[in-house]
Amino acid sequence: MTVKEYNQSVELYSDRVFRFIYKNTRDRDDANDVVQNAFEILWKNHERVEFEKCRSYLFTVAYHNFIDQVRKMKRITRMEDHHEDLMEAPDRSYKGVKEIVEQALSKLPEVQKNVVMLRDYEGYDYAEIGNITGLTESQVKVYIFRARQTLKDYLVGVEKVI
Amino acid sequence: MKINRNNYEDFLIQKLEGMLNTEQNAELDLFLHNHADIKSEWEAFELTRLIPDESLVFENKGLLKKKENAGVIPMYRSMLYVASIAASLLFVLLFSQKYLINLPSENPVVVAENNSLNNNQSRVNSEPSKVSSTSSSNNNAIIADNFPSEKQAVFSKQVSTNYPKQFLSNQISTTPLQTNIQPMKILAHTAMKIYPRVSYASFIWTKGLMKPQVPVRNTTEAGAWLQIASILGSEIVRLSGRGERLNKAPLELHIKNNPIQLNINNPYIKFHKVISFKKKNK
Repeated sequence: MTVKEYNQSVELYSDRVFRFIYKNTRDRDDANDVVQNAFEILWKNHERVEFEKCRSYLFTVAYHNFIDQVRKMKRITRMEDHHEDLMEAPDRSYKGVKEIVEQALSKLPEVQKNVVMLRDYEGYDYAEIGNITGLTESQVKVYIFRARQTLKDYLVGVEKVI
Repeated sequence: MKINRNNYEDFLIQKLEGMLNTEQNAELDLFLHNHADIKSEWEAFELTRLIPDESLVFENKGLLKKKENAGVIPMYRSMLYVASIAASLLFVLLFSQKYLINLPSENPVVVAENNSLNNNQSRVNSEPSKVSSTSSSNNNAIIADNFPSEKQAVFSKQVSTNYPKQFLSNQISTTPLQTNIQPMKILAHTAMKIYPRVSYASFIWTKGLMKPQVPVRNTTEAGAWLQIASILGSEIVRLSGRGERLNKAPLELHIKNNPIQLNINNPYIKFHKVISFKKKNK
């Protein structure tokens, strides 16, 4: 990748990576740090990374960086616990559909949230999501199905939005 | 598989994910048409498709971008450090050779006739051809002949503005080491012409490392060895692929009697060195 292509990747993908991480961390500074770190690593390796593959590269680096941060902070919550929380405590104050979806998304287990965001925000297929997250294709499929099911249940459950 | 009330959710998610073929899609549409209560669930599933929030943007893009006409030279200081060590090793090895092998101390060669720094500079600047004609019997003639005149003129101008006079000095006093110094001196000058900044940076760095006791202005034995060491350093830098980058870097040189201050500074290369010269004995 040339310097010009690298700069192009900053324009094209920095917002997307930021959005992806911010949705996880809910902290602008943390998200900024992860994005900067991902691009630093891309720059260090820019001569070896092809421009066509730099988006996946950035998401992979950012994702793993984020996971490392989460592990350090011991914020990973067991999927089952999360699911119980989601079912037990829906926020019943009035919100628009978009807010409710965001609320439901924020309550998904990390892994489900990440795979569904990569799927919907970036349009990655299961294999690409697997490469980024280190999961198998079938695991990605299962997590996406579970996430959709949970989100749907939440939407139907909260004040009968639908 | 037939769609029924027990498995319809799986089909709805597959439809959302675009995994159903035309036939399955048609079957599911018919199922939804026949079961109005389930149709609302499909609408809920459709809402689970996330839409990116375009208002969230990374605001520091400028910090991430790089200048397109420059490259990165990671660990450049380390490279110079390695070069310096290698140059110092050569220095030690060659000195060891001198004292262990006991090379003949006779047969001195006079390299340059003129000891005046000003004359030396003017000779480099204005009379490059004279160098070859007046000293055709010595090794400097080989350098002058091998170097194209137009390049020599450019080089002379560059050197006269960028480098301290003592580094351009040709004179080496007659010493027992002369027989060894001459071939290396040719290399020193060649390296200076091809990689002036690299050579100079290595020279300055190496000199600082070795702390010579002999004033470099006289370019005596130690001065020649320093030049030799600088060649090795510059070659290492060149072979590492960083030489060209260094040569393109802006270079500032401040000479105020004592010390000399060298700055090579661009976003990717930072090199700073202050050297103190021992005052010349009058």
